[in-house]
Amino acid sequence: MFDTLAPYIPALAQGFLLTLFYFALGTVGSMVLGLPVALALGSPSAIVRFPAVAFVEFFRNTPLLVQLFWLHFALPALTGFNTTAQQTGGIALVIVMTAYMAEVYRTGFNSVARGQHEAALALGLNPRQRWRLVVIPQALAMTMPAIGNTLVSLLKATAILSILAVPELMRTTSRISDYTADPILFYSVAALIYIGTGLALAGGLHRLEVRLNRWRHR
Amino acid sequence: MFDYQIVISAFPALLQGLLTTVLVTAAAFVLATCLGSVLGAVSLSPRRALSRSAMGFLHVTRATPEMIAIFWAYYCLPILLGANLSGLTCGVLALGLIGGGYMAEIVRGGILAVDRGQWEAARSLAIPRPVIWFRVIAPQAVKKMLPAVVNYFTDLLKATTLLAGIGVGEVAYVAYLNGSASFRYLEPLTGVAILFFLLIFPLSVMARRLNASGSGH
Repeated sequence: MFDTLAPYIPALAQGFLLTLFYFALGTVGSMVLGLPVALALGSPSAIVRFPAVAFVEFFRNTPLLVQLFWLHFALPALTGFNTTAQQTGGIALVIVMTAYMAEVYRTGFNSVARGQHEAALALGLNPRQRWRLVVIPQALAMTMPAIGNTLVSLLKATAILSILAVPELMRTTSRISDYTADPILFYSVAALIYIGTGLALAGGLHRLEVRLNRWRHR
Repeated sequence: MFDYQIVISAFPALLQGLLTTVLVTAAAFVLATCLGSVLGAVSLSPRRALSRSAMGFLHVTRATPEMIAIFWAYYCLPILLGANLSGLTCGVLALGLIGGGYMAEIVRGGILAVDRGQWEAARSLAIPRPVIWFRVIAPQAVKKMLPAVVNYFTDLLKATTLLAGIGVGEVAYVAYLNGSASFRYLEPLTGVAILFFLLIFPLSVMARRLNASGSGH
């Protein structure tokens, strides 16, 4: 069994690295871009709020696979501009995860009690300080479980990019499996890699959550 | 630029695809609910070995990408079982198993959310255990689970599109094939995106309403 596996370890490792790259891209992209979108979601002005709500609801309520197909095959007909599968995959992943993360942030901001805003106001903190020192740290601690769930979903979602033949772990596994005609070995190995990574990620995030809570209550 | 005629001519094929999507969703949902109810209850068992195995299954399924589960089932199950299984069957099994883990967590949370006093009060009235489970705990737990179940259902509906990867003719794959036959992807793919939004968005709103109306508390 190991003799069959050994020659393909470098290829699998390369696929896994690309999976990790997409995971990192999605994490950083969505955590950064999700913030302005979340602020727009809570804006008192309807002109600012409506596009943000439409964006978040549309991407959260349609399947990623359909979004991928649409961005890759349909959008070029409108713009006349083609993207490679790898580019489409990265763009789609960042966009959809931004929508999920924005909703997570918004829930977090809403969960910070009104009194906290008012107390910060009474202390004479300006709006920037109010968000940076009072609201965001508390919201972050309270939303850690939801952020964790979103990141685990992101890791699983990277496997969907295989549908556009992006050579990440899932796609690499399919190709090796077809080539060697040994699906049981290769799909099982890939499944174990995904499950191991997912469990490690969930465990790590849980630890971080416990630490954040301890720090908050000190 | 957007040719409605193409959507209209693709309509019968898309409808056929939608039927497959509904069938897969329903079958996987039933499987996930049965499996999840049992596992959720077992995860609360006082017997350590039982509750630990249930929790183990729950964690593993939550970390498994649907895509690898579907491919694993499609390529490995027929060999392991020595049986001829269709893509649809394998897809339903994969989504149902993973959904079982999700539902187990929901069921577990629902049961834990029922006040302990309910159980103690029922015991002190000398109501038999099975009756307590089905007439006292379950009705209250189900009410608390409802928003999460609706959310899971929308996730499942989205996940059925992944069966396109193993060539099952659900609606997203049909739309893609339709586009590739004519090189007009815009119309069928836009149609299918709107269709999914119209199916899923009302369910999301419903889940939020249920949550706000206190069913989650």
